[in-house]
Amino acid sequence: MTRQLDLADIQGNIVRAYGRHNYPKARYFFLHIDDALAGRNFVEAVRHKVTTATRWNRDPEAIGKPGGAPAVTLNIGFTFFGLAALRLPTRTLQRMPEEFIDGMKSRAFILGDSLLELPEDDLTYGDYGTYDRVGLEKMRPPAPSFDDKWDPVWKNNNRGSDDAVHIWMSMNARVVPFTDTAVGALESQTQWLRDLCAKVGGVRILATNGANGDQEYQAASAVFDTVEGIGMVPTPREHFGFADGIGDPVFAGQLPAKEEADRVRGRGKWMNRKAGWEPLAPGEFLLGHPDEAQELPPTAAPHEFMRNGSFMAYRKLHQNVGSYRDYFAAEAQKFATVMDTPVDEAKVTLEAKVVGRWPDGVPLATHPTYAQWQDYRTHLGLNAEDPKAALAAMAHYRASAAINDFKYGNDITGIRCPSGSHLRRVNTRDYLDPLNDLNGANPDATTQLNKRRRILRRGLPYGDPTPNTGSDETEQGIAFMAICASLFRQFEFVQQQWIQYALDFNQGNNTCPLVGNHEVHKRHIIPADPKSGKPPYICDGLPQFVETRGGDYFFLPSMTALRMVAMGSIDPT
Amino acid sequence: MPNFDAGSYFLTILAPIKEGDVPAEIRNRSGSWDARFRDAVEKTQAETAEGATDNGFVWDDEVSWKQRLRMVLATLPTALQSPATERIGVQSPFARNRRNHLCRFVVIDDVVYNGRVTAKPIIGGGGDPLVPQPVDHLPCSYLLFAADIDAVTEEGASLPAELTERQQGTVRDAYLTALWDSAEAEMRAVFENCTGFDEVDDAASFVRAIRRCQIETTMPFHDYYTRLPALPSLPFDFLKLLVLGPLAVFALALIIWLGGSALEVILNRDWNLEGAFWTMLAALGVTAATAAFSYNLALKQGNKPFPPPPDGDLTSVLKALYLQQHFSDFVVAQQGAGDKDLHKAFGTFLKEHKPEDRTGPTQKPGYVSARFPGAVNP
Repeated sequence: MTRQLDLADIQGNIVRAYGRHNYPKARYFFLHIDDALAGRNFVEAVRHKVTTATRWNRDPEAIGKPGGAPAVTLNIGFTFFGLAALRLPTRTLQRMPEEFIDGMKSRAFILGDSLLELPEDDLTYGDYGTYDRVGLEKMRPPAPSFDDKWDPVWKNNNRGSDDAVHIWMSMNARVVPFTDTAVGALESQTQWLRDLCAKVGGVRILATNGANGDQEYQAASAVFDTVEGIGMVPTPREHFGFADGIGDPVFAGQLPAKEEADRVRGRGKWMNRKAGWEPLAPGEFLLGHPDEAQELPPTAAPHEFMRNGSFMAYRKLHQNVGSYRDYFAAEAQKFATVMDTPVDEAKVTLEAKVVGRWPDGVPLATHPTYAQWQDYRTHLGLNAEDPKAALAAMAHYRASAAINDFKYGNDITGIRCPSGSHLRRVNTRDYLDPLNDLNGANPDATTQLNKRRRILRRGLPYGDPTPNTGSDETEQGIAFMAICASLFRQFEFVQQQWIQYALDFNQGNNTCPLVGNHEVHKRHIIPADPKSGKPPYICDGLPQFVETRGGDYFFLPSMTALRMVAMGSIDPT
Repeated sequence: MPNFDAGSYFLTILAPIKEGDVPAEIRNRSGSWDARFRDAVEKTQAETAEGATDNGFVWDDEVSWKQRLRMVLATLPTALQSPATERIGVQSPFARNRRNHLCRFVVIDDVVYNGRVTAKPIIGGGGDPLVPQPVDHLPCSYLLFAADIDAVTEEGASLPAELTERQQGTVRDAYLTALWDSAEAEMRAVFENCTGFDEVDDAASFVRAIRRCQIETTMPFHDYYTRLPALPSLPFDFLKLLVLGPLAVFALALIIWLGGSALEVILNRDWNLEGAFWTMLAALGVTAATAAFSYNLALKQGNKPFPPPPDGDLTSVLKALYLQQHFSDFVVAQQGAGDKDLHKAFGTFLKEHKPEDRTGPTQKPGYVSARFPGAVNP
């Protein structure tokens, strides 16, 4: 029997991607705790305003009223040193996962944010006399440290520092209908936070966000389109022009049963032909619940402090839109020549072969060629002349299971969707089934080796969304959040083994062509159908499209845990 | 015979580490490892402006042989196999020969203590819990050195399928001689902390000292088969029949003989059961003989080395790595080229990279990528 999750005890950002629920504007705050008692007072005031996972009355009239959807959400998380600053018992702290204690900066090598195991400053160049020395330091001057370009709030985020990040707080807001202006409640809740800090003392907003370090918070916003006859509407696009945030996993208890049956297709785990897709075990995303290994993962004591909580990686991912534009413009010319297609078609095909979906979200797995994609768009009504009708068709398609319901068992060679593409790396689906044959289809391939490596993606783009205006230097990217029960097993594994390495995809050292580190490995292979008579195409010289500009690991406590922090009564014995 | 398998030789040695402290006169001798290490650290500190004064090293402190061995090993560089080691740029001494696929040093302190002999709490056993049980120890600590090398006496020779014990010894000695000739300083620094190496003065005495420490490699590891060759296998079904057949005859005869004897007593009859008795004994003998034969066959088969993988020698592997990288570059550069241009460019590629010549141009040992400055042998 399925146990009902205690939704009122779980923070709302774990079950909902607010950006997709009509909250297209966000502010992310980072705070420092100077004083433990003030910190507890702060948590006590905040916890009553935290948005939980409770299901909302969907009546638009109820927005902002009890039982209805909030006008502005509020969620909170803590770094390990934030919990230490709140003086949690040592017995609780010492059993926290080591990657959470390390924090994201110390994991730069594992995440591929740095190619060196140690920060440059810590590398010694000892000359041990008799040993051969290649004498490189003249050939290769020391590289700038990996965090040189990070935002000051993250560059200064060091253990024991007065500027260490202790608290993450997020506010997601609705907009005034058909504009890109956030409702006034966003600013008033921001003012409440400022006032609260002033009132409790000992908790500071670190106002050093942004590349110049002059922002009070990290602002984020969906990219808006102006639709004739309607006004401004938020889109799911990021700055490279692709629909994002589509294939998030679904876990048991997250959705009402009626919704779950449809949403789980392509987003849960595929069991067999008879059972099809099933939701993932809640323990993959919520602590204190059985996970996909049918285990209760060990967590810190006491149990009720960790239960219904989760971990989150926050990453500010800068997008080099200039490099992206230039690269695909140039590469499309070559691709068009080799493949004998018009340049426009070559460009969007090339981009899709890197991403794994067409810009509107249609997966290559189901519609691999440009012609098939265009036919499908017409079939769906996406090419409708009436912009209102096209918008409605798009919304309908995005909400349908068709956008996610596919597997790779019939495309092992990657002729439809390249094995090294972004989509196949971050969610391998059934590709890694050990019984898959490298040269044949396997309709019974299951998602067994993928279901323990899933993350809930949250977050929104930031920066000026006007297409074709930004450069590598302007501020734009994604405020990215990954939520999972184990950052080590889920987020870090995907990042290290699948994004920054490709042995599982038989692609050697190639990194993800979209978000991978391209300092050394700069290639992406696009297999061709032998029947087409065309050779495979190799994208070479991939520039760095996406760069990390900061971030850290946070614990997202349950409402019970927040109450325990506020009361200062966490008894781990 | 697993020291030799799949065309490779697997050397495993356990060298006893000296007990006690390193005498001051050895540490302070000019040219000693300690002196060189001291000079290198001081030189590095002098080059970097900060922290030149108090470095935390106390040069005249006492140090045990085991501590010193660990220090030597800690400063022994690995190959240029990661961005960090590439940046440091100090090459492993084992990259100076062309037969070493892999090697490692491990300091084995002692056997791991596993606690008291387990006892079932209800049934008991395991002795009186109030009386301490003996704790097992090794007589001393050991340095383990394991190397995985091409089983050849000349670098670049193709890998042999079979080697006699004597030939294996020749392979080992040739490797150790090459190691001494190319890395004498490092070998001295490591092994002077071990018993039995004080008299080592040249390649021949080094080989003798290592040979005394050699143990059999019982679990060799080899990873160069891209496609599994025909491996030796046992006719298992036949052997089963060979052993179980006579065993069944024995069992049947046993039942007849025992059952018959019992019935004789019960029914007060007198049968001639001698035939059954002798059949039983004969079947037992045949079973023992066939079992012994099968066992020996299995052992003999187990001792048969696996065939060498094609082009599994280090020279070929390095050339393959070199070619793989350059051929990828070639493919990328020629995308979209016309047939004539492609043909011409491939001619140039063949001339430049000489795929048929394993000795050059090629990647040197100890480098992870041919792109690295100095990684290619012209």
